[in-house]
Amino acid sequence: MEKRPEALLLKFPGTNCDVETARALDTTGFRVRTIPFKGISEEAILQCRLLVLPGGFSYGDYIMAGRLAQLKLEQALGDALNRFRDQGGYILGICNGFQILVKLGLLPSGSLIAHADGRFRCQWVKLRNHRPDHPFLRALPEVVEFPIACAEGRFVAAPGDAEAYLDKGLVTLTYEDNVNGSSAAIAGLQDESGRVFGMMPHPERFLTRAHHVDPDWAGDPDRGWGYYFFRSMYEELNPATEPEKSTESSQAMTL
Amino acid sequence: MRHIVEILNRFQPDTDAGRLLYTPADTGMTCRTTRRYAFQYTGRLDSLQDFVRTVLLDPISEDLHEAARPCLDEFAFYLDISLKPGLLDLEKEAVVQYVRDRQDADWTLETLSVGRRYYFLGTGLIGPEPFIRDMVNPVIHTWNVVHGTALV
Amino acid sequence: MEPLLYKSTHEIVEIRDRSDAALEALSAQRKLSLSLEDMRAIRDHFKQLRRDPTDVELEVLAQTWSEHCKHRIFNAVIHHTTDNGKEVIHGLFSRYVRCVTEEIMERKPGFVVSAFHDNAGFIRLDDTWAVGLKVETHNHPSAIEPYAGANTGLGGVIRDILGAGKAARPVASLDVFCLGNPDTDPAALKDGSVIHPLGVLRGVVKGVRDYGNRMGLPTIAGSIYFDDGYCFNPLVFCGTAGVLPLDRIEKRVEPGYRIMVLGGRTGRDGLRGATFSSASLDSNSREDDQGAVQIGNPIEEKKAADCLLRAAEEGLIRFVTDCGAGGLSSATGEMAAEHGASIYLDRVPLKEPGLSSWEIFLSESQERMVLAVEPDDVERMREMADLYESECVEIGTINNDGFLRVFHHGDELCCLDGSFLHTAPRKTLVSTYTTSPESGTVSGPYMPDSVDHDYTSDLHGLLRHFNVASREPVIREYDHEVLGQTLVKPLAGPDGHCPADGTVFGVDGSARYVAMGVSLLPAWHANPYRMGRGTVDEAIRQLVVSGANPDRVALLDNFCIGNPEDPHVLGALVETARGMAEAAEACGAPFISGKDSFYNCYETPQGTQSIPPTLLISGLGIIDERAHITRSFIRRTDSRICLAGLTRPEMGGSVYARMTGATDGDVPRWEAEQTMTVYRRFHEALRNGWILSAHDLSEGGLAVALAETGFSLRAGMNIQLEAVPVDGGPSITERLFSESTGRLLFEVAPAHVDAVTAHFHGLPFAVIGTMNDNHDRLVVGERDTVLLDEKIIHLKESWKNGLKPYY
Repeated sequence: MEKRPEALLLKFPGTNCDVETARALDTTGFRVRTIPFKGISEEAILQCRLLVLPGGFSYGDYIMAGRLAQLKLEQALGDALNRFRDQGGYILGICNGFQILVKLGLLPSGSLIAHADGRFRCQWVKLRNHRPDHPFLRALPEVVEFPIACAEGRFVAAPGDAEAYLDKGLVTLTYEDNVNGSSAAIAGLQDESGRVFGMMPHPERFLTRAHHVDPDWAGDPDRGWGYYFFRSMYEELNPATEPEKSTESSQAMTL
Repeated sequence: MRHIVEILNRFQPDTDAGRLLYTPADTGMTCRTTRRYAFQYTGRLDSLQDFVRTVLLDPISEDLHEAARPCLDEFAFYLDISLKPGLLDLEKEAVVQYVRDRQDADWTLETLSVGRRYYFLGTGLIGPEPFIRDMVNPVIHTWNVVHGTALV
Repeated sequence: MEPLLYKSTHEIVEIRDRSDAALEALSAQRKLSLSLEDMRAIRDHFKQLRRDPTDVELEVLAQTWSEHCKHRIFNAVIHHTTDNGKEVIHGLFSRYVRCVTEEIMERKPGFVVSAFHDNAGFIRLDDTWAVGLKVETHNHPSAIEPYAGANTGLGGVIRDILGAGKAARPVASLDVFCLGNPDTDPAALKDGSVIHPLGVLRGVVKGVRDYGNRMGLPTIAGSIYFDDGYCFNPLVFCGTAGVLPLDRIEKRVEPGYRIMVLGGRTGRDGLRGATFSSASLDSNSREDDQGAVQIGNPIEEKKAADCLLRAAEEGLIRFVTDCGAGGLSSATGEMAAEHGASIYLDRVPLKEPGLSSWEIFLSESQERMVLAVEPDDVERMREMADLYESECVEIGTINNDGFLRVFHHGDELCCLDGSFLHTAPRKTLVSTYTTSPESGTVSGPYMPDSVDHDYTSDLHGLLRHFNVASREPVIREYDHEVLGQTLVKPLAGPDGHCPADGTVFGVDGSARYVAMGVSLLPAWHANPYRMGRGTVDEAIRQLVVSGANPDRVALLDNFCIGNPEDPHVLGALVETARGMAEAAEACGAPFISGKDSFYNCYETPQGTQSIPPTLLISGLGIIDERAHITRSFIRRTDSRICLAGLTRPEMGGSVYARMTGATDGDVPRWEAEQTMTVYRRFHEALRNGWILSAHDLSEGGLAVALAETGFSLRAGMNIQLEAVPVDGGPSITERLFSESTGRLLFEVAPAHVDAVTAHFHGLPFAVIGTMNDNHDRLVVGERDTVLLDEKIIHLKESWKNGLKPYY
C-alpha cells in the first residue's frame, strides 16, 4: 500500500526550512521523514529515494555557510551520500543545503560567499531554466520565479569554471537579473549524474499561487512553480502516476 | 606557542570608507576587511595549520596569510576590532567547540582570539578617529589602530 | 584560584534593626532598585519571621517586585487632575486595559481564550487553533548596545511565545524602532557616549536580522519612526506571534512534577536585567552596566524550541515558562506560586565555575526555558534534548507547602512564602493633564487654498520623508518568507515594491488567515487622548483593509514614557490610556497582552532628555477565508477608486505639518460609531467580492495613499478632489494631506461600482477617481483645475530612495 517514494529531510541544529519543505514534499505526494542530524544513520539514508538538505543556518554558519555541517557530516557518515547517489538516490540541497553540498564536494567546485554589499537579501527573483529535462525542472517554463533569502548566496569558482559548467550543462538555474553578483549568474547546479541538485532559491516557498507577491500573477490558476518542481520529481520516482502539467486546472489546496 | 592567521576574501570588493560613518562623507578612502585568528596552542604546528585550512579557510574564495604582520602592504591605517572577553563571540564559540569535539587532534588549543581587521586604503582625507567613533562600541569592543606607510 | 565549588556561597543580610536611611543605603548598595516603602515591607516581614533574609532572598524579592516583572506603575493608585477636575484611578492596567477586555469577553464569548495571566495572550482562530502575540520593549539595552539589545529583545519575546500555554509555536515576528533622525548632526548629541541614531538603526536592524533569520521566523511587520525626541532614548519593540492548539492553552503544575531547565547554560552574563530595565540612563550607564549586555545565541534557542515543540506535540509538557527577567528565580517562582517548589542550584548546568548562589538563581542568561513534567517523562525529555543537540536537566520538584525553597549543596538559601513574594506594596502617584494653548486646539483652514501651489513638490517631499519613505533596505534584510506561510508580504506587487498595510500569514491546519499590523502616532502628543484613539483606529484599519473581519480583532498595548514621577508626563500617559481604552471598547477589540516601559529619559548636563509619550498598538485580525485577503495596490486599468470616511481640517501632528515646520492645527478626532460602520460595510463589500484592492489613509494623508496604491504601475489615475467626503470645510491642502482617522481607499471594478455605492448609502463615501491605461500619471484635479500631475514612477523613485542614503 505504501508505495509513495520516501523523502528524508536532514535537519541540523539551525536548519529552519524543514517545515515548509516537508509541507511541499507531502503536498506533492512524498512520504516525508524529518530526522535531526544526531539521529541520522547511513541505513536511513540508503532506504529513502530523495534526500533533502533544507535551508537554514546549520550550526549558525558562523565560520562560513555550511562548513560545520559539512565537517560533522563527513565525520559521522563518511561518504554515505556518495554511495546513496551511486545507488540511484537523489539529493536536493536548498539554500543552506546547497551551501553544504558544495562544501561536501558533491557539486561542481565552487563556493557560496557573502553578497558583494554584505547584506542579507529576501526577494523574489526570475530564474532561467537551463535543464528543462531534469526531473525537478521538467514541468517548469523557461523563466520561473522563486524567492531567495540568503546572505551568502553569491556563487564563485576558479576562473573559467562557471562558464565551463554552463557549457557542460551542469548549471540548472541562472538569475535573470544577477541580484547577488554570482559568477555566470549561477543560482543552481547539478552534478555530472544529475542526481545531486543544489539551488539558492526556495521552491518550497512557492507552493500555491497565493504565495506569489502579485495576486494577478498569470502563471497558473492555483499552484505555484514550487509545486511542479517537487511533483515532477515525485513522478520521476513513482512512474505509475499520471503526470501533471501546469496548464491543467487543479483543485485548490489548503496551506 | 602563538600562531596568527589572517584570511582575505579575493572576491569581496573594497567598500567606500565613507559609508561606514554615521554622516556618510567623501573620505577618499576605501576599506577592506579581513578575518584574523590568534591561537595560543601546544602541540604540532602543522596540524594546527591543517586545521586552519580545512575549517577556517574557503580555498575557492579566500587567501590565507600565516604571519603576524599585516597581509596588505599599502594602507593608511588599519583598525582591529574584536569583542571584549566575557561577551559571547559566536564565531569563536563555534571554532572552540569544534576543536573540543575533535578527538584526533595532536595540538591543543589554549586560547583563541577572533577579530576583524579593517584596512583603510588610499590617501585618506581623515584619520582613524571618526571610524573608531562610529564602528567601535566601547561597551562591547576592544580595538587597536596601527598606521601604515601610505600617506594620510 | 578554583572557587568554592561544593559549597553554597551566600550570606545573611541583617535587616531587622535597620533605620529607614540604612534600608535605603542597602537598596542602593546592592542595586536592588527597591523603594523605601518596599524595603520597610521586607524588614517587617522578616521581623515577623524572627530571622534575617539571605542575599538570595533579597535578590529574589528585588527582581519579583521590580517594575519589569510586576508593572507597579501600571498598577499604582493615581491621583489625576485635569481641566475638568480630579479623579482617582485605581490602576491604569485594570481601568484601561483589563476592564476593556473583560467587557468584550462578555460580549464575544469564546473569542479571547487567554489574556494577561500567561506569557502571551491568545484569541480563537478556528475550532482547533488559537493565535497569539506578544510585544516587548528592549529600550535600555538597545541604547547601550543596539545590536545586542535588539538581538536579545527578539530572542526574549520568542521565548514568551514558547512559554505560553503548553508551548506555543512561534510563527512570525515584528519589530518597531523609534529613533532620532538618521541625518542628525553628530555634534548635536551633547553627550559623546550617546550612539548616533544611524548607528542605532544599523545595529538594531542587524540584531533583529541575525536572530530572526537564524531562528527561522519571518519578520513580517513593523515600523520605523524617526523623531529628534528619540535621539537619547531610542525605543526598540520586538514582537512574535504564535499558534497553539486550543487544548494546550491551559497549564498547571501538580505536587511531584519535576522542574527542568532546557536550552542554554547559566552564566554570570545578564545579571540584574530586570532591575536595570526599570532605571533611567545617564552617561555612566554605559560603563556601569556592561554586565547587563548580552549577545543572543539564536541557534541555542532554535535547538531548544525544536526540542520543546516536539515534546509538546508528544504531550510531555505539563507547564512551561520562559526564563527571562529574573532568571530561574522568576520562572520557578511562577511555577511555585500555588504549591511551592524546591530548587537545587547545584544541578543547574553552568557556563563557568565560581558563580555564587544568588548569581545562579538570578542570572538572566539567554535561551533558557523552564518546564514541568511528570516524573516518568524526565528521561524522555533528556533524550529528546540530546537528539536536538540541546540540554535538559532536572533542577527541582513541585511541593505542596506553598514555599519557594532554594538549596545549594545541601544548604537552604531561600524559603519565601508565595503569598508574601507576590504582594509588593502598591505605589501611589500623582498626575496632571491640562490643555495648554499650544496643545492643538487651533482649527480652521491650515493653509489658504492656492491653485498655483506646487502640490506635486509637496507630495515628493512627503514620499521622501523619513517617516514615509520605503523601508525596503531594512525589509530585505529580514527573511519574511521562511515557514512558507507569508501571504501578504511587507513588500508586494508586480515588481515586489509596493508597501503593505497589514501583513498576512497562514497557519498549518487552518483554513483561516491572520493579519498583523502595528501603529504608533507619537507626533499626535499635543492631544494624548486623541493620540490614544487614533492609534487604536489605525491598527484596526490596517487589519481591515488586509481582509480581516473587523469584529475579530485583538490588540496589544505597549506604553513608553519618561519619568512617571513627573505629574505632567504621567498625566499625558493617563489621557492616552483613556483614549485608547474608549476606542478599543467601542471597536470591540480586546487587549490580550501589553507591556510598559518607564524612565525613558537620559540625564545630560543640559537637563533631562525625555521621549515623547509613545503608545504602540499591535493588532491581530482573523481573516475568515483566503479570498478575503486584500492587497494595497491598483490591479486594473478600468477600475474606480473609492474613498470612505470623512476628511477634516485637522493637520495637527501630520507629516505635512512636520515637513513644513508647522506646529498648530487640530490633532485628528475619531468617531467610534461611524468608523466601525464604515469598516463593517467595507468588510461586507469585500466578502461580496467587490473589492480589488484597498489601502488605509495614514501618514501623508490621501495624496500619499493614492501614490502608494499606484506603485504597482498598472494604471494611470485620475482623481477628482471635489468628490472627497468632507466635514468642516477642509482646504485643498487639508484634503490632500490631512491625516483624519477612519478612512479607507479602495479599488472597485466598474461592474460593482453601483452595488458598492448603494452599499455605502448613508455613510461618508464617494467614487473619487478612475484608472486608465492611456497614461502612467497620477493626476489630481479639482473640477477643471489640475492641482497635481506627476508620473507615478517618479513618485515611486522619491519614495524608494528616501532612506537609501542612510541604510
